[in-house]
Amino acid sequence: MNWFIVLVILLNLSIVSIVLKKFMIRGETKLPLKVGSLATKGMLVGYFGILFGFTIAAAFITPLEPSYDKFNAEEIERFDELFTKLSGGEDEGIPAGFLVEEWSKSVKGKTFKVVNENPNWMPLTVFIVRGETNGGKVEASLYKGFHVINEYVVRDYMDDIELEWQEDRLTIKGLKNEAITMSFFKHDFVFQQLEEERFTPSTAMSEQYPILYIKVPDSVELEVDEGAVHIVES
Amino acid sequence: MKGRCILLNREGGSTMGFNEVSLIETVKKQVRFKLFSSPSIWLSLVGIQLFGIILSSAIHNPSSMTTDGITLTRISMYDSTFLMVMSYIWIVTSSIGLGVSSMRRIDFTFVSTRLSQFISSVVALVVLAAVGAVTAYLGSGLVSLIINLFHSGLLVQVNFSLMEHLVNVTGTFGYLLMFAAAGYLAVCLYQLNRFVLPGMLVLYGGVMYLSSEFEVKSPSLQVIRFFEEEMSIMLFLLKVIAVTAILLFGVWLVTRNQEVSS
Repeated sequence: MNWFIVLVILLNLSIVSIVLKKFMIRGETKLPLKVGSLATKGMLVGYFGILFGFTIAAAFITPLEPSYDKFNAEEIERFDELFTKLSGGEDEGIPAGFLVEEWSKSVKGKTFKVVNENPNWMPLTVFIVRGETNGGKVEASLYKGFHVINEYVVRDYMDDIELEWQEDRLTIKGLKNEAITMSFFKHDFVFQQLEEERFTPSTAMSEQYPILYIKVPDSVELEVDEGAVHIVES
Repeated sequence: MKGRCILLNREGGSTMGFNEVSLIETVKKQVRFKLFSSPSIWLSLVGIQLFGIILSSAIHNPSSMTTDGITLTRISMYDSTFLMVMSYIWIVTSSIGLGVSSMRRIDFTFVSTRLSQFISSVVALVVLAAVGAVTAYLGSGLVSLIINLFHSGLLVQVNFSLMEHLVNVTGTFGYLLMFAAAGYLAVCLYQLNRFVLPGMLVLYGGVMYLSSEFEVKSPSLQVIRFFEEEMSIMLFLLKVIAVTAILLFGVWLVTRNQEVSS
């Protein structure tokens, strides 16, 4: 990108210097066009008017509040707290807003399996806690994640996650994994330098996978790819 | 300004008669002449900014985010930087155009003095910067409109209130004014002596070399930070006024004793 900017600037400077050299010979200004003072003023006013008209049109056509949620630093902070608590085996006092679904299933055999159908990646952060549970059942909670790009929360992020419970087996189903395409328009730095809140790309990007928190009783044998999940020491 | 300039006959010093001319009237005429005698300034404004609008609308910075090696997100980031760069180029070339000797000779076809010539140039630069700032700012809206027509669901990063619009235009005006003053000073220095500008470039290169040699922060970076990091409109304006005043004072020092040739 940088080389292109330099090329464009050099091209412009070359054009300007050629024009200046061509039309300013021996101190005499040779005008390329015979345009009167009134026409010049008219052209300027016309240009201003056209730009102003397009700006008004842009304000109406570009929705002020697009149907995307804006970046919310507090929500990310709350998610971080949730992550910290769950990673420490603490699932009390979790804000209800994060909870997507809960399960409590009995295990008929001696072994409980967690299987991921997605090749090469795990679309969830999975915490597994071993310990005593109510009635010796496997308890699980799914908490929502989010993906923020340039201050906007990506819609329908991981909403096609599907967890399939069979008797002694929890399967994390394959996702479509379709690429998300987003287009942004950012004003030049100069246009927002004096704003109270500047756009800072580093804080405007965040991706947090949904969290699956599973409690498996000690009496049940666990079969899982330990490299893809976090076993929490309770 | 209430002052009046009295033009004496230049020949020999003996006064054949007084021509009392209002300084303000002279400046007004000169400013009008500088700005509207040559349509090329405004034609180039329209041409260069439209070029910038086209570039800003067409060129985007693509990026993609991958998670665990799988591409999940493709982002197209458009901005109005090209438009601003073109506006900077326009203001610098226009201020150079104002400063070239042919234009300064034209100034003295009026009944004028060095002072009126200087003041009219400063006013002309301020007008150029103001028009450039407003059109560049409005052009930014046009860029977003064009992109929006071709990309449904375009997200505009920041939407401003009316007061914020005014503040932003003022900030843009400040930058353009400094560029204009710098361009005008550069051409005046060049006319004073053709070796001054290359000499300054050599000096600048030397300072850059020494700053890197002694691991001192680059002076140009410090100057950029001096303006870029300012978020208060009042302090920013103070800085702009101070720097512009220094540049224009340099212009006055360079041009006040120059001879007028025809």
